[in-house]
Amino acid sequence: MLFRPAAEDFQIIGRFTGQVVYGLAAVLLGMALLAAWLDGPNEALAFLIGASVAGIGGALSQIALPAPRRLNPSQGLATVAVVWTVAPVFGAIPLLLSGHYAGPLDAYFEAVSGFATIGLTLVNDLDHLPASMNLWRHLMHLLGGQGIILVVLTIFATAGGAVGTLYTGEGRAERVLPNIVQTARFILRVLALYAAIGLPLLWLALRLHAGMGARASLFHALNLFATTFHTAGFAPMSASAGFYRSSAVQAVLLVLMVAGAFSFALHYQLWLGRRRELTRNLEARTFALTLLAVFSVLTFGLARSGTYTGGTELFSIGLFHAISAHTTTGLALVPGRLFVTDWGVLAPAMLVTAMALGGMAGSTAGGIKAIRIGLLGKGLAREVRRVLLPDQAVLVQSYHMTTRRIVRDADIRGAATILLLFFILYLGGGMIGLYYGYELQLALFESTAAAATGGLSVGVLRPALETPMKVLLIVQMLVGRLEFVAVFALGGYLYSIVRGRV
Amino acid sequence: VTTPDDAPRPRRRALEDSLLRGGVRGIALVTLATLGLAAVAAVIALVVSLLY
Repeated sequence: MLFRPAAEDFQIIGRFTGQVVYGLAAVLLGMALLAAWLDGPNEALAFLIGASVAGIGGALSQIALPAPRRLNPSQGLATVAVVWTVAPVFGAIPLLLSGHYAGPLDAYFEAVSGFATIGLTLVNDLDHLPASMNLWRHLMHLLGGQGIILVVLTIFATAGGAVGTLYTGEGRAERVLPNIVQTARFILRVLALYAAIGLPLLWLALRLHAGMGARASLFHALNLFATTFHTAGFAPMSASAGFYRSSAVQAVLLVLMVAGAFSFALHYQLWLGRRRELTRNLEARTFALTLLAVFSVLTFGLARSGTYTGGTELFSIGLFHAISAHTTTGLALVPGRLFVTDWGVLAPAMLVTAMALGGMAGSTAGGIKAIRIGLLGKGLAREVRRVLLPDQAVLVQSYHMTTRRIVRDADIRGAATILLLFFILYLGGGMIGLYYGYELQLALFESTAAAATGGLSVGVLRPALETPMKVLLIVQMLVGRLEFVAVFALGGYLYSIVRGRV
Repeated sequence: VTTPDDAPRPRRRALEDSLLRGGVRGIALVTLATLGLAAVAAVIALVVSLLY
């Protein structure tokens, strides 16, 4: 059925995408009002133009396309991929009109990076970007992180099965509650409570410890909360988190990054008071284990490079970057170029490894995900035991994730498949970087940062980067964010058009 | 699983209140987990600095 779609399938995808674009128009309109207050008429006009174009696009889709009855799985998946590709087109309009981007492709790149919670940036002169544009960059993180799909979930709250179809397409495999709408509401509750506690803490740290003014502290706190809790990576200043030179700010950011990388299923268990889930949950265990392993090797690498030798420096610099990379957030305390010029070879290799591994499934983090690594570890242990035990022995291996579960061959196969696909994505991008003359270390770093939604950069990404490389990174960001399946579904539809099977 | 949304109205408020309290506890647990990771990391960093 996937490769024999009817014209109606495309109409349904277009109609649902149009509804999301409609919502985006409303947000851009709100941003226009905010820009008029914060910056002035030029910025307000830029957002107004963006809102108008999005509004017209959304309206046309609603007028021209018939009301959809129900999404089937492949339509839902394709819709997710189309939404994540199309929404940045409209999100990029105000950015382009700000004059801080070299061209439409750079603005689109920035918007994809924003909605996909990557954090790679092509902005020129970030430190003088109008406040409203900077807020918009971070708001895209919030929209993308909590999900354009979450918006869709609330818009389509009465659409029944369609909601579930969209939900599974976003890579959030673990349902928190039996009902998808309840799950969406819980996700919003988590956001609200973390914002209620995290924003004042950030504001206080910025105000009292980093020495910023009250209004500036609020502006930076809003942006930093959006970027850390959604494991994204944009920062309000070009020096990223290093701008604040404050251990108090770093401490709050670390907690928010870890919270952002926790799956919502785990958040839910903790909210129910099941604290033992922290130590028993396979995904939480794997995440902690790989994080500490990465940190250990990273500190060895840093000490070996001679750049940092004191225990305090190794701890603060090492831990912040290990957590930033592992949660796929992408904030940094030092300029990215230093990763390859001053950090030796081992430390940046660990940053790449951490980004590649990623956070937990069912969070905004990207990468391979801790549950898949944990399952593959279980599978490996099972194979070793199988070799050691008699042929007649029956092996039943289990793991804890909310409840006790049996390790099934299908789970291992699924995890291995996604692992392989991610490696192909990381290495494939690296190979193309090599073709354009970049060193392996640089090409692989940038490729992994894009595909794993990591967001750290060693400086290859810049406005002067070759256009095919920019396009490649955009594709990597989208494929990595949607974890292949939604992109495959869209690919199936596009293939059918090319083959004339519609 | 009984959730605030499908519980009878009088119970809904109680469940939502308990979920809010649980939320604060959940955030505290995540903070503790981060502190735990940081404590282990501090020991590792100390050992590495002594080795070099």
